Amino acid sequence: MNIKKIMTTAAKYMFLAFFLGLLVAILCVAQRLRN
Amino acid sequence: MKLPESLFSRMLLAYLPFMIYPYGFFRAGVAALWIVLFLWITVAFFWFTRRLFPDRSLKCAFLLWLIVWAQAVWTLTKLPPYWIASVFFLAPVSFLEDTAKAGHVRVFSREVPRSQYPSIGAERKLGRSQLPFGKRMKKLGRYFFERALTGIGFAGFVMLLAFVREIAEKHLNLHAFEQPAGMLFLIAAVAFLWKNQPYRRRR
Repeated sequence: MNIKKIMTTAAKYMFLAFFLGLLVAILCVAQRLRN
Repeated sequence: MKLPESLFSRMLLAYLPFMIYPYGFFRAGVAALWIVLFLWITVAFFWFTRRLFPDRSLKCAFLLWLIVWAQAVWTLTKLPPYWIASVFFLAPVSFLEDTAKAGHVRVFSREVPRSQYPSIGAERKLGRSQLPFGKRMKKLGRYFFERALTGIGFAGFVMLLAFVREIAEKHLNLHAFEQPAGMLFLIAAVAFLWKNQPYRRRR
């Protein structure tokens, strides 16, 4: 496994983490706006 | 799950939740506009980011995205919680696949001949990223044009049906239109007749 592939995979998982964070943020904002 | 590919069948599926909404013309239109707006946001977001996800988690991410937005919009607006089902049914089939390309809209299940899209062959030969820039932009344009058409078509469809219901119920006093299910029955009858047309004789 070369370094480029590892970097790509790491970047993909970082993006996934960012995406999940975005979803949680959406939920929080919606809850906040409602109250 | 196997979803129908033709635009009209998917529009009918997406219309099913509207059958149990107690909405008049105006509120049905607003709900349809919400759904269409959200469909466009979803499709644009995943078209640009689908290569950034790890391969296996893309579909889970799509599902989570839908659930989170369903919850968020439900708390904010007065839409019923299953509005997201319409978005799910309208989303193009298999657009999350890696090989997904800008498909053609199939209305009433009619095939469009492949020869009308010469760029498909070129793409297979060259690979996606080596296509000339103009052609790539054209593909992108076609993709979003077709999605936009889906959205506008759905909004128009919902408004047309709500309008027909309003007219037939209030002014013509047709009892079948009092419940949305009665209209579903009429739609099903029309679809059945459409599918079973007698063959036209060739001249």
